[in-house]
Parts: sequence; C-alpha cells; structure tokens
Amino acid sequence: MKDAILIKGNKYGLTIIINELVAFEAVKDALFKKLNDSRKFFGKSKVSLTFEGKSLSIDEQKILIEIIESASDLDILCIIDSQQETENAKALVSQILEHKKNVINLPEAEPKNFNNMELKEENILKDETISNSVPIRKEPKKQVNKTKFIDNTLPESTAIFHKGTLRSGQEVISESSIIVMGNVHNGATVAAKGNVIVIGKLNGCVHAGKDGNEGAFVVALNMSPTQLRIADVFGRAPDKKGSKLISTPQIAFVEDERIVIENINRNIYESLNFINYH
Amino acid sequence: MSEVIVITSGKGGVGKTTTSANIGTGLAMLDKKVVLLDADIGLRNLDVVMGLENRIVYNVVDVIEGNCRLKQALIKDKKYPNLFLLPAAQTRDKDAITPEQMKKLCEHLKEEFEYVIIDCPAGIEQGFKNAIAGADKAIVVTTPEVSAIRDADRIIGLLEANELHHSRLIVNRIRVDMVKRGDMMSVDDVIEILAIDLIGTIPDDENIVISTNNGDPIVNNPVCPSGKAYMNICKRIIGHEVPFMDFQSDKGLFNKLKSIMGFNN
Repeated sequence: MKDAILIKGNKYGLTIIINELVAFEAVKDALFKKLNDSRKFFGKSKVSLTFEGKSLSIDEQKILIEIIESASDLDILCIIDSQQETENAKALVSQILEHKKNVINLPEAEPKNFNNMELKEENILKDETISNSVPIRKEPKKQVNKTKFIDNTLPESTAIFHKGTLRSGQEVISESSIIVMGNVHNGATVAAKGNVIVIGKLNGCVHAGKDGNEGAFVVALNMSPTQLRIADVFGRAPDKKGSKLISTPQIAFVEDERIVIENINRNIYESLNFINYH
Repeated sequence: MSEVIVITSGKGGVGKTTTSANIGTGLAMLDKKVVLLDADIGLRNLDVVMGLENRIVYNVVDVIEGNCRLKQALIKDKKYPNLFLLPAAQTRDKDAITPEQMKKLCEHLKEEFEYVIIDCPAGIEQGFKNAIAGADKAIVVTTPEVSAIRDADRIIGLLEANELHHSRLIVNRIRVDMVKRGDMMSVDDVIEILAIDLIGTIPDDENIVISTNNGDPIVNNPVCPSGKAYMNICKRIIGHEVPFMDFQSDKGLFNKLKSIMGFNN
C-alpha cells in the first residue's frame, strides 16, 4: 500500500495500519491529515484503537494518540494490543459502545440483541498481525474487564428482585430484568430493559424491553395489566366481559409486531425464540 | 402506653372527619382519655362535626408558634370530660407547620392522653405529611368505589414508605342493597385489592348527615347501625374482639362487579 496510514474500522473501533516502510514523521503527518479531513465522518464516537503494521514504541504510540485526539473528535476508550485480551476487551467494548449508542455505523455491525454471551466466531476480528511487539498499553479511559468476561450489561442476563407489593403510585425501573415478589397494583408501574416477572397479580402498567428489546417477555401469575408494552409494541390483556379471573400463570411476548399472551406450560419455552438452550 | 392514631384516606369526602369525631367520642365513652387533633389547617371541620365551633379561642398553630399554652387551646367536649379537641387554624394554610413541629406536639400530647386521634386532610402533600409525622398507627378510610380505592392504595404505599406499617381499613358508606345487585363492590372485594386488615365497616346512613349538622356524633346513638358500627370499631381499637356486623355480600357477582367498575379482567 502506498499510503502511510490506513484507517480501518471494525465493530469495536479503529485499526490504524501503519506502513512499515514509512518514516514516523510522515506517519504523523499522514495521520493528522487523514483524521482532520474526515473529522465529521468519524464524529464524536468512542472507539477502541489498534495499531497494526509498523511496530511503535510507547512514545510513538503516545504521540499518535495525541494526534488522533487533536485532529478528530474521537474519544479513545482504550488501546488493544494482545490477542487474548483483544477478544475479551473488544467484546466488552462493543457492549459499551452499543449501549451508549455511539457506534460508528459500519457494515459488519450486528443487530442490537445479543442472545448469548459468547461472540460468534465470524465477528471476532482476526488479528494475527497484532503481535506482542507493542509493549505497554495505555491506561484505558474506561475500565476494561481484564478477567473473565462477565457481562452485566446484557438486559436479559441479570435481574433485580423487588420484594413486596407495588402499590398505586409506586414504580420500579430496572436497567436489567426485574422480578417482583408480590403484586403490582393498579396505578403502579414496572419497567425494565430486560424481562419482567411478577410473582403475584399484575394489575398495573408494565414495560419490558424498554430500550427496544423485542425479545423481552413478561410473566405473571395473574396477568391483568392496565397496559402492557414490550419494546415499542403496545398491548392489553384480553378484556372479556364477565370472564373469570385468569388464575393460571401466563407469559406475554412479541410475535409479528403484536403482543401474544399464552399460558405457561413446559412446551412454551421451546417454541419461543428468545431463549437459547446451550 | 399512649397511642397516636392518624385517620387518613387520600380521597376527600370519604368520611375521615366523621370517623375521627366518632372514634374519639366512642373511645371517650369507653372511659379513655382522648384528644382529637384537627390537622386540616385552613379547612377545619372537626370542630363543626363535634359541635364545638363556638368555643374556639386558640388553635394548633397558636400552640406551635408559642402564642398560648397547650391547655389554653384544648377544648373540653360538651358531654365527656375526658374528651378534648385541639382545633386547626382557619386563617392559615397547611404550610404553617412542619412535620417536626407536629411530631413534638404529638409527643407532648401523648404525655397527657391515652389516645391522640389525628384527623388528616385529603391529599398527599404537606398536610398529609404533617399529619402522619407524629403518628404511631394509621387507619385508612375508604368507600367501596374505584376512585377512593385507588387513592387509598396510594396512601397505604406512602404510609408504608413512612414506616407506618399494618394500617387498618375502614370501609365506609357500604350499601348492602347495591352490593346484592352487583352495583357496588363488597367489603371483601375492597380488602382483596388493598390487602390490609379490616377494622370495621360502616353502612351508609342518613342519620349521619343529621348528626353532623347537629354537631352530635352518631356514636352517641347506638340504635343506629352506623353508630353501632363506630362503637364496634372503638372496641376493636382498645383490643376487644368484636364480630363484624353482617353485611351480606354476593361472591357470585364478583366478576360482574369488576367489569362494571372498570377493572380489567
């Protein structure tokens, strides 16, 4: 390649491929010019950074980082270098990026829902060129979990418990899922980015999948909500006049842009598509 | 071993003031030393219902501001020497006192009286907060109507948030004929929605209107069903077990009621 600098984007951020044959000074200028010209394109995104190609000393890396920060509005979260940490960190960063909704719109970007915690093979950038020759990584601006990758930001994977009945006027909002151990009275609200489970009567308003997660579900022992929303789909429990109180546990989910409510039996979980059995 | 009980409801017009007057009077009839405290500053009615409005010289705001001594503001009841009323101010509003001041006042009153009955104003704002500040227990009054029940539910939630647990319920203005027809919720329906313990039910009674206008609480008249009901409540407050008066409710019409009342099924 003739260019001193090639900027490649991936899901997690930017890879700066430096032509090994070019002197460092030229590299600096090229980087500055490229970023300055495309300042608007990159915008104010938060990115992770990877250097490829020419091996750089710590000082050289620092200089390049300063150039990036001055020539563009990018917010560098961290530098990725080693293979193992790359995979973990990239996954975590992608979670952070997606949840901050600042992802650079790239062709390989995946749809919002992560249904399982492990990344699919094809999404991991093959980084054989990244070697351990880049010695020290810069202090990441965001804490990157170096240990085993446990993602607590996935809506469905964790839940908070709310012990006690929710009376009229009370509301509980969760960033993950929520389990209410009690009733939800008329006039109370339960909202969660993930799923909602009510171990009792659900007579109030419920909003699962608050951030647009259409895979979220609502379970209640007694499903009679005033309003039921999953992501942007709005629904209400069937309003049969004179029917007996529904006393079987029911589950509500989205199918074809509509809310569907079914009795819970052991087969229902297999036919629903949001829970993957490993 | 004194007790401060606040009578609250959320919704206006369900019978808090009437209930406060009758419970206070009933407890006095059972030989307890009782003081009634009107916390509805600016819209006082407890004095009218008790028939003591002509005797007011000082009120609760005067006491708190130090313009008079507590003894000067307390009004002895017409009939019962062990029953007193501390009236509210009519010319001020609910921001005239703070919860801390109310708490201190209640502690002061507890030294002299066995029961302090606080008549709480409607709403959930400063007046309510003042009224519950000094309370040990709460009694929630509601009528068997959807709107009153919704507000009562809110109030119970607020009471629990303020560490006033195990409130007890009074269902007021029950009309047995309407319950039988399925036009009104039964006491059981109300209890199921609100999920707190019942302490009494009061039937809808014309005589209450008459007694209020006369300034003579209905509990003085045990022949009336509502008078009897109030007396039963007072007995339960002091710890006697009294069977609930028999208001027949029809379980079979439960669901019809719910749909008429607008509850979703």
